[in-house]
Amino acid sequence: MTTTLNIDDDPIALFLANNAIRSAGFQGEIMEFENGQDVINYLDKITADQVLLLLDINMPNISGWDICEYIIEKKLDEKVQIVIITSSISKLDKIKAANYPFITGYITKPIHMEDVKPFIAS
Amino acid sequence: MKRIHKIPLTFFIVGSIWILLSDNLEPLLLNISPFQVQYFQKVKGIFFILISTGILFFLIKSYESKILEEEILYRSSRKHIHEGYILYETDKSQVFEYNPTAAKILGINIGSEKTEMGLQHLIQLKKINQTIINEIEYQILLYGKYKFQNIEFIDHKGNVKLINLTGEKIRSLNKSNLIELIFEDVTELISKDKLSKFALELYSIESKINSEHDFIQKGLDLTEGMAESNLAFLLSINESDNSFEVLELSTKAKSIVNFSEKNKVFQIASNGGLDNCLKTQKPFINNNLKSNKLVKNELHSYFPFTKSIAIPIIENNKVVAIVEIANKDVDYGALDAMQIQAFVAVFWTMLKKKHSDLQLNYQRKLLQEAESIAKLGSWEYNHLNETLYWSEEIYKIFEIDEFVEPNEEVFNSRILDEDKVKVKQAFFGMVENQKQYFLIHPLQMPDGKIKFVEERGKTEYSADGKPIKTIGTCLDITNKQLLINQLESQNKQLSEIAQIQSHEYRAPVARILGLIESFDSIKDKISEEAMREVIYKSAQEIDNIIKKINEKTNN
Repeated sequence: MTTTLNIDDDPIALFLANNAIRSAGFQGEIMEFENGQDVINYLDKITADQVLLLLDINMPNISGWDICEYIIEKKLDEKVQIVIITSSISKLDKIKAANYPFITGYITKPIHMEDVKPFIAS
Repeated sequence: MKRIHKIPLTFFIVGSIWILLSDNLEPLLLNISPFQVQYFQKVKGIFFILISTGILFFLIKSYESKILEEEILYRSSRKHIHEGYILYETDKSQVFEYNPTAAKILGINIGSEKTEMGLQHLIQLKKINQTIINEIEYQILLYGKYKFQNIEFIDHKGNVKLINLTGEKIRSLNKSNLIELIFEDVTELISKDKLSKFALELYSIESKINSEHDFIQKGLDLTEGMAESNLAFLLSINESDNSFEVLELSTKAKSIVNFSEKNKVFQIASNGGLDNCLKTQKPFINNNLKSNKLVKNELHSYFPFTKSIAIPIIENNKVVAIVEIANKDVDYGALDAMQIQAFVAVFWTMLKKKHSDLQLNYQRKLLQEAESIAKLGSWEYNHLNETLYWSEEIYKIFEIDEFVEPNEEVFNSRILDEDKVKVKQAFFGMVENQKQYFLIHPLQMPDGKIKFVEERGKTEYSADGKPIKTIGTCLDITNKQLLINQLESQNKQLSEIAQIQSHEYRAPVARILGLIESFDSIKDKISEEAMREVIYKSAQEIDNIIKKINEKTNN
């Protein structure tokens, strides 16, 4: 069973990402989180076999990178797959993302239906 | 009875015998009555003998008293002369009379038993060489009077003294083979204040020399300024084989002696001047210059001088040079420059010292300037006695008075409190691990100003691995560090701006773009008013971000 988490501190961004995923044909449940701490709390209790995180990087207090480190620390990287959805156009962020094996996608906002289709399909 | 008193007695006895015997002889020779002859001759003869003996005795007495008077006068005058005075009986090898100065010069207690004191006794005490005593007696026997110069004599304290000794055979009523010995201690006599004006000028040569050029020029001035017949060399000595190298020559010297570039090095027979000057640190006069020949490299010019004076130039209680003048028969105590017939200036160790000093001073000055320009000081820490040396520049960097002796406490006074332990551990840790020392740390000056220094050091270790000393540098990198700090600050600002641009600025832009691009699919899910509100707030957000970037750029 796969659980999908949509994480962004900007509610409009969450709304647009949800819209894109649904428009791409995703029928499953999407859980929304507006801060990193809630995500960590959720991951601590997660029971699903596979988890897809649509993750923003730049968030207050706990950033997207902090969540990535937490996943490694808790050895959840086997069951977690992350697609970064960020407004950042920094190359450094892209390079950094490439160093995490469980980050499988990098989407620069604004998000489009076509951007998320490959991940929905997989 | 004195020997001289035997003369009238002999005359009286011989005369009386003649008169007594003449009673039998004269009648045979003269044809007269024996009675007449006997009577007449006896009266005449006795009268004659008495008169003659009386006259003779009177003459001898007068002569004797005159000699005695002379001797008394002579001996009493000798007792108070400043030279040492000894009357010495050569046949008995004992001292007959002496004055206190003799005892003082010879440095021994002559004592009340005069017979124990003699030149033989001196020989036994090894005070004077046996060959010198033999020579003295021989010369006096031959010539009646002889003068010996600069005899080395060791006094009771073991000090080497130089003594001039004059020996003369004298006449005495009571003593035969009596010679007078006059000792003059010239060790002190040939002192600075006894020298002539010219010699004093040589003495003061050191104070007039400021550079190597001055040094050579001074030597040449001294020689060129003299009489036409003068001869002058400026020499240095090779201490290993005592050979001399001609450094400069006066014009006259060049014309007299066949010097060439090939013949620059030669050896000169030692006349004792160098050794004695070094030993006594006092001028040394040699009155018996003999066959000093310049014998090396086919140079055989005869050195035709009989006397020399060697003058040590003393600096910090050490003989740093010896100026030696060779001359014909002159009194150096009254020597005038114009009297000099020959002049040999031996500027000895001083030249080499001057060279090395000048070179060292020049290098030190260069190093100081280089250190000052580079703001680089040098230091040395001795691990054995825990002492620290700082170059001048370190004092400047640390802003510490140059008279303060460097030590760990002084060094620590400039280290920030929070860095003290770190700096100490860094130094001793690298020493212990046998690594080169490298550390950048701030210093705090008394006025609160902060400086940054870059310390480097290399440690020498003993065979068993114990640190002996660490030699290092301290570079003032305050300006460089401030520049680095400024660049780092600017870099940080740029990073922040880039961060703002890539994240904060892009976020509202992406939001607006997302709303517009997804309009068809979301128009039923969000009201137009809500969309307008989102776009308006996003635009405001962009405006704020632009202001924030502008503010950072202006800073």
